[in-house]
Amino acid sequence: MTTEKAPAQERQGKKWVGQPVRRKEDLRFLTGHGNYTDDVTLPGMLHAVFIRSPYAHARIVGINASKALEMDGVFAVLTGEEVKEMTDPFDESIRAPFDQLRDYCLAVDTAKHAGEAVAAIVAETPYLAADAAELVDVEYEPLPAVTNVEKAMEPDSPKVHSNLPSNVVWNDVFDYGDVESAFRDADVVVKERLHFHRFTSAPLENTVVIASYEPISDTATVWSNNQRPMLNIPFISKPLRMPSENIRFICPDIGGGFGIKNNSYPYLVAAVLLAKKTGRPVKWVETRSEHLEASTHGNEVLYDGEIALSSDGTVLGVRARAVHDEGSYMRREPIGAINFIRHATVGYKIRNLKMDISTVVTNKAVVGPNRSYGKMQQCYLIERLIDCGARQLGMDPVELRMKNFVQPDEMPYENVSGCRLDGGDYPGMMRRAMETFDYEGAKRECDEARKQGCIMGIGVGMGMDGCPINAALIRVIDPKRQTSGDSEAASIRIDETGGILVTTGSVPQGQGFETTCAQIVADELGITPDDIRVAPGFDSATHAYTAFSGTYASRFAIVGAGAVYGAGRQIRDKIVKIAALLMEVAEDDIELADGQARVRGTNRSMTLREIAHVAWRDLARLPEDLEAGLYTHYVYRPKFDMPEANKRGNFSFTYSYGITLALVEIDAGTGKVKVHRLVVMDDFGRRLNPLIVEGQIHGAIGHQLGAALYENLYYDDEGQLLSSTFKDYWAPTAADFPEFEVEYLETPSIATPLGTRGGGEGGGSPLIAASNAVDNALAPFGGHITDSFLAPERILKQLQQSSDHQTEIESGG
Amino acid sequence: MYPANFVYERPETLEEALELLAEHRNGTKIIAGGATLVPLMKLRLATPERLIDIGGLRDLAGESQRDGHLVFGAMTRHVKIEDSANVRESFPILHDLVSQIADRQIRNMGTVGGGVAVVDPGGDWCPGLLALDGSVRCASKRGERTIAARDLFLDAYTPALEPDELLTEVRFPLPPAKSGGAHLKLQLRAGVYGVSCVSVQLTLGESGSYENVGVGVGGVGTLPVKAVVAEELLKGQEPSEELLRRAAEEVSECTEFISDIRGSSEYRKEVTKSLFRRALDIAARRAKGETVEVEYA
Amino acid sequence: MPKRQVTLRINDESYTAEIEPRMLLVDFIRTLAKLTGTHVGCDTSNCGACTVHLDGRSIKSCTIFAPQAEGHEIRTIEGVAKNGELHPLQQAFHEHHGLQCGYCTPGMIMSGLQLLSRNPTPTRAEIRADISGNICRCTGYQNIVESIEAASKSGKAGDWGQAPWKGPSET
Repeated sequence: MTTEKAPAQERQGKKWVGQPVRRKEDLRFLTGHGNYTDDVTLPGMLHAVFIRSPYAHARIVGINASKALEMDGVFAVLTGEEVKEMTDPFDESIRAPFDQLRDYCLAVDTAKHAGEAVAAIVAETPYLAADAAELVDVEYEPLPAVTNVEKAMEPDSPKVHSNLPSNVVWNDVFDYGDVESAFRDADVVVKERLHFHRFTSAPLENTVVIASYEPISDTATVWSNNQRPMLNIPFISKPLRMPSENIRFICPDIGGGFGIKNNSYPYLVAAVLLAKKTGRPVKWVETRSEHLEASTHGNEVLYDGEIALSSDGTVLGVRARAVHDEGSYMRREPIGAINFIRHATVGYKIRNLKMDISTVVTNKAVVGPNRSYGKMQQCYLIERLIDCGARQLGMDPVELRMKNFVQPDEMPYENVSGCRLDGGDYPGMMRRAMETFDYEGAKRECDEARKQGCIMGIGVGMGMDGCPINAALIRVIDPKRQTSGDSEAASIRIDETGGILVTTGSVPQGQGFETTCAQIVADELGITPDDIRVAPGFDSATHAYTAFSGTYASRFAIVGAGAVYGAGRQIRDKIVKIAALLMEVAEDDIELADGQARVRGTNRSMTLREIAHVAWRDLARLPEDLEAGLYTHYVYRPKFDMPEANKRGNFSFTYSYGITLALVEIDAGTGKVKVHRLVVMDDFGRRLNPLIVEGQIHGAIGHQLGAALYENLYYDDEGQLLSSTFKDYWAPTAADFPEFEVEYLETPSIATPLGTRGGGEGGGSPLIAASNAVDNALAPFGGHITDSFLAPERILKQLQQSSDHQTEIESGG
Repeated sequence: MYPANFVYERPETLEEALELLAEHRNGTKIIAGGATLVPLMKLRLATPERLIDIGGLRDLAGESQRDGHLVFGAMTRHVKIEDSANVRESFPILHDLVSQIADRQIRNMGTVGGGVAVVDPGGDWCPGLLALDGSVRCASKRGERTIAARDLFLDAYTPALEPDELLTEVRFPLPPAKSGGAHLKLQLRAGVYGVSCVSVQLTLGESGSYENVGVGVGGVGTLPVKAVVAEELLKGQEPSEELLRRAAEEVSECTEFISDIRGSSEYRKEVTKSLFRRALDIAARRAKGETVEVEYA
Repeated sequence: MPKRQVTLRINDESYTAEIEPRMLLVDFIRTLAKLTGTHVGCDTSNCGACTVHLDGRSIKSCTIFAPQAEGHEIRTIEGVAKNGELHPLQQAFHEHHGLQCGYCTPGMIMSGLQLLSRNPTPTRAEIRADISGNICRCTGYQNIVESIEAASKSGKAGDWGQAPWKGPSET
């Protein structure tokens, strides 16, 4: 396996960081030797299948598994009643009395969404478990279900949780600046009712859990493709009534996460219980239907938004009521609902903002982290309002944005909610985007095409992604919660033969950490990435970690890289110290290059291997106060503060941003949208590996364009998820996408040691640009986009209503 | 996710297969490519007790011309038809149809016999067969017979075959000169079931009038439909905007249009009208000798 | 229901086992032949993560019962690299960052091999159409298309997946 040789030029002394090094992890994936959780088998392992509610809301009258248990090779059943006895409910993030919301690993007393697991059965093989599951007889008493979020807010709505006073389980108002005056003084006010639709990043690998349990020591080992092992261990240890130290968590290779694999912890609890019950390791492999019905959905929001503008295009203020349809349990919510605060006003100098946010439970699947968690939704709100404002003013939407951008010389800029934007050139990026897109030329092309009867439109969108997340956000939800900040850890060991092993608490799901970590360490130690082994996956028994470890919120490039860089510096310092001692020179005279420690200006040197050997084996040569060995553990902690009393604060550390320009055409006979051109600009600060960053951008475009044009989780009025398989949930294929034209603007972050910003989630600019482009295309027909899902049927209807209207005028009716 | 258990038979000759069918008339299903049947079985929507795998009956595969018909053996894989230069040149409607089925892997596995016999409401072969007034041959121990397309589709997933019959051939009458056809489908995403699919086959008269038009519609109701009223309306007529508009209206009334996740019945009607107009246009252009490509959009 | 003894030829090796006929080919490959490179990503034959070659044709191994594959030659991702040397298509994926999490990659490679054996010089549009039976959630497909195109242009054609295995002539 080859790594790219760096060209002769060095940037700030970095040879490897910043280079498009080909990935170390590729070989095993390319040859079918990846080690995903379903590839793991243990002796005596049994297989679990969940029995799930067909009703959106039903009382579980009784579960009879006797016929199933009679089958040969069927071992055990677990029901909600047992779970209620054996475990404590999960912690909630919401305030009393709503923290009485009861959430267990199986439905207890009632099933609250179609597909919720009500029981589990374990058998020798997955096929047999499926047969056995059919014989488990569950008696349900269907109850009225509520699937419309506004109905759920009404006092006489069926209650999803009968022990709560209302389905509105959390509400708060965030009032920054003087919104009242802004709207009073405005020349133009535009009101929009917008719906951000429910979709999921649906990673190709579904959730898989294996649990084994040892009764004498009361210890468990869990294998799962979960993104946040070190948050989830304490999270499940409480329900399991086990000390968290007694749970070992192993993440093998993960086939995509995108946030969706954060919240699989109920299944972790169920698997441990099943392992306890049967005395054998138990594996559960989620099917795609289960994944779509019962894992995690992205935030679905209903906005009533308003934007106040002056006639010259200055945005004076924005206010909105946001109602979040959370599904039946809150789990990590309302973090997604409050995540707007992590960039709040995107790249604009909007000094007055008021957000009135409610989170409402309904009889649908649970909402949770999904690529650009709650942040894309806020960008959508702001960007659609800006576009509608531009339309009202008769102003070019690009021009209006330019007028309101934070300027590069205003950085760092503290926005109205306390976000400290860490650099960036928004107008510069917009100009570059317009140039690449040939904005004026595209507008002319559109006009020409319209004259020929084609329905074409141009749209622009900006996305912003504040990362990582300051856990003090949870204090804003509930001031009694004592969490804040973020951290990540890394360890480096150079053994006595000079072998180098790096571990981090970052849990990779395709982001290439084995390569970027190696690049960072290679630069510090003067070696090549090939010389370094980065431990794959995650194992709480062997990897460095902190309480915040995991991959989510685009944090790796900041905290993961920060930790590895810090560890690299530390071990470098120790190597230099030992080399200086052994060669009897000053530390400043030592330089590390080509795997050696050299005395500058001479040809005296020692290899890293020789130094390591002494550090481990030849201890009498080391001074007493120097710790033996070459091992370091480093924790990186960005400087996060507590929030201010009025809910202001810097809840992210870096602010990645991107702008998309899209040219679309609508098929007049079907309403289907074709994207002719998509120009995407991004700035995630300094790129550790430009090849990997570009891949992340492509992936984010894929998800966001996919969501805009193809992916929607349809529920019917009875709460049945109609798009519950890949036959009906249309994750796009290569044939559905245009060629992406991607460019990168690199302005270093002033906040991080390596100048990196978090990248990977994207801020939603492709999704937003698609909405704005279709809106632009429909404008001549009086059409208007109010939903982030661009359903062809709705678009066709808008076109036809216009032609009916035309016909009416023509016929004098 | 996992099918229920079954007994698996793999006859080596057609006779063996027919013997098995005669012996086990009930609870038995034939598996050819399996592209439709296996997914149904995995969801346990089909739970046959016995599966007869005709994959080994190599004599049942192949393209030929016989008695004024283009004939495909039932086991002819979709990909073979897609790759057939003869089909592409002389029967482009069939090339349109087969190349828009699902995806490459499914086309490598699925067969024309399976595609016709399964009577999938969203399938592509059935409207094509109806538009072209095709037919199938089936065999049993009792003998052989031909079933015309318009008699073949009884209900969703229910062809007019007896339980002991095996579909052996799918036949399309070779069209006269100045004929052309097209098969268009609206897929909301590549490879998924269409909102609607329309097959149009026509022959043009001397003056450019529609001598004969066949229209098949699929994906809009529980069954594929032959739009006979629209066909009658067009027959012998000169093309005109008004005629085409009325014909499209008739096509959108040819059956009860369903509402589902792909669209409401209203949307399906609108889409069907558009597809019909476009297919008719392409068919006419091909009838005049023009080469027109059709692909997923 | 009786079990059935089945022998499958996978990557030029024979694997014999007594199985329930309902065992899907992908499960035979993963659990009996212990070749876990072929993956499962859905339950409705849509995602293509399970793509393998049967007599040189790419098929979805989750949509065929193991006994149906008897008498045919199956090739999985593990049978693509030869003597530790990557196939030019695998090398191209590595060069052009055509994979991220790697879960769709075996299926993509098998589809790519078959595409290039049918059409050695595809356009980008043809590539996109031909891999439309393989879903990827990480890459947005851009670099996958890039990789396959690069491989087709590299002139290092080599074995594209038709020779050398000699299965029965296909039906």
